[in-house]
Amino acid sequence: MAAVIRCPNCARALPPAVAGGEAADCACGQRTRAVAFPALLRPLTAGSFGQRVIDAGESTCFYHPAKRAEVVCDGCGRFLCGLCDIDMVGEHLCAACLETGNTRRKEDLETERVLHGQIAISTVLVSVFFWFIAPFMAAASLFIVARYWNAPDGIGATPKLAKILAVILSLLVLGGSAALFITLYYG
Amino acid sequence: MSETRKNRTRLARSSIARVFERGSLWASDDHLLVVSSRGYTERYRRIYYHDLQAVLVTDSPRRLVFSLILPLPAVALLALAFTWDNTVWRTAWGLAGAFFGLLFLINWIKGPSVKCHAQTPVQQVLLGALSRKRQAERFIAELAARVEAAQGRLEPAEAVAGLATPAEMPPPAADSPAPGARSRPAAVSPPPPRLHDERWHRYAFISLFAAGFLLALSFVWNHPFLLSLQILLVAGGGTLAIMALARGRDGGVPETLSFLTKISVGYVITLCGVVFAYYIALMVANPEYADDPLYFYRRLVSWRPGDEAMFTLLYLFSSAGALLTGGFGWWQCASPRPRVPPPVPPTPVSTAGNTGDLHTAPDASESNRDSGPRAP
Repeated sequence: MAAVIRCPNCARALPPAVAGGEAADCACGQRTRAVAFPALLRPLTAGSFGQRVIDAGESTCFYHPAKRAEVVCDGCGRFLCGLCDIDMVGEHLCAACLETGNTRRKEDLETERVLHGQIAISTVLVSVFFWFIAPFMAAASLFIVARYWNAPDGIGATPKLAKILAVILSLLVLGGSAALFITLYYG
Repeated sequence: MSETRKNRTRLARSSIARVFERGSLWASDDHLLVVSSRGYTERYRRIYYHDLQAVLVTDSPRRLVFSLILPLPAVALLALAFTWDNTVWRTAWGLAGAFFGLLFLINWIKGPSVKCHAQTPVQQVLLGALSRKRQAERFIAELAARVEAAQGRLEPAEAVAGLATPAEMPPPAADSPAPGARSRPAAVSPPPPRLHDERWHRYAFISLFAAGFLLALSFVWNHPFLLSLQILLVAGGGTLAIMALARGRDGGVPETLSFLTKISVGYVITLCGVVFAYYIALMVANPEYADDPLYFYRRLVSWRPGDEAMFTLLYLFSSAGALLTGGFGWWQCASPRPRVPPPVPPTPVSTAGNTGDLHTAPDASESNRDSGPRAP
């Protein structure tokens, strides 16, 4: 495929002048400017399907016994063929290690993170609108914080801040509920 | 991911105005980390510097649309503050109006709005944290230094010379590069352009425009039939706008049109919220009518926009919002641009040249069964 810059809105090819810093009007009505880098003109290297084993003494791929091993997985040490090798900027990984790295929050492999602190805060704030279940919501919020205390927070967030805030709010709601209960029944 | 904040620098983050989808951009040693969050989860996408082909900056109508919308509540609330007798309410309306005015000023001062994408050989990633031109320029300047350290520098003239012109591009189904162009291995065929059918947008905007016209008509003529028509058109316009958004979620809809449709949905929801709040207030004030389902409708009919200052402002705000949004959106739909071609009527299938090729015969199984000539 020839090098091209596409309109982000409709995927049409934009005129080459856009790479020179000029604004280009796409047929869909979007005006786009671009800052191009050398990778735009660099040919794509074709992927490998792996080579078949010719000699019986050759090392074979862990996942494809009929294919010759080309690299060793940097995560688990298994032999991999060209098809199974995933090149992560110099690091060679198999698909299983990629998945494991994501679930175990390995550096640079994680793709998603649940923000338990935000969930705990929302849980306790929702109780403002449903006052009759407020103590239960506050308790649920405290449980979430306790259960996921060691889970990492979002990138850039102050560590544990959201969880501490959720604890403070939960304790306030629980204290307020207790005071209300005592006032109503014994006051 | 372990927290290695030492070798990760934040280049940009979304403003606090982005409530529903927040994001930030972090520069690492060898990649750009795109973080997007919808409140309870964060998603991470990494773009390695040596894969980054280009950063695209597209104009966005966000600033223009908010510049048109924010003065409406600001003026309405400030006018209410000047006409109200009670000092407490006057202060409250005044503060609310000043708040919208402040938002308008901030929106104007922050400069032109844009949308940014990073292009790699396989995809275009939306950089949601960037929404203003100045912010995008600062980000690109910082990113370019890191990318050039990894890839080297590309002179603009060289980039222009190396790119294929749209005319040289192969058709979407072709697997081979265009002859004469600087070619790449034919690993992926180019995606077809995303064209979108804008019918639903047009219907939604026409409904809103008509609703705005009828709301404005209420100043001179009020009738139960008119009110019913207003309710129908506003609700219908909102529903159509939601359908248009759902149908256009794959892209291809111009940014302005997409943004106006979202504004329309927001407008209808706000209007419904105001009417519902009035309904609740009315029911609390007159609990004896709670069992009468038509009481609220009769009250609405009995309204005259000129009865009270608040009603006047509500009608003015509603009709101006609907007329502006609907009219501008309708005009956008009418502007010339490529659209989905109308469906082609089925062509007659002749069995004379039927070679049994499944890709050439529209209904091969049937044409194989039926040996006689077929009517169109």
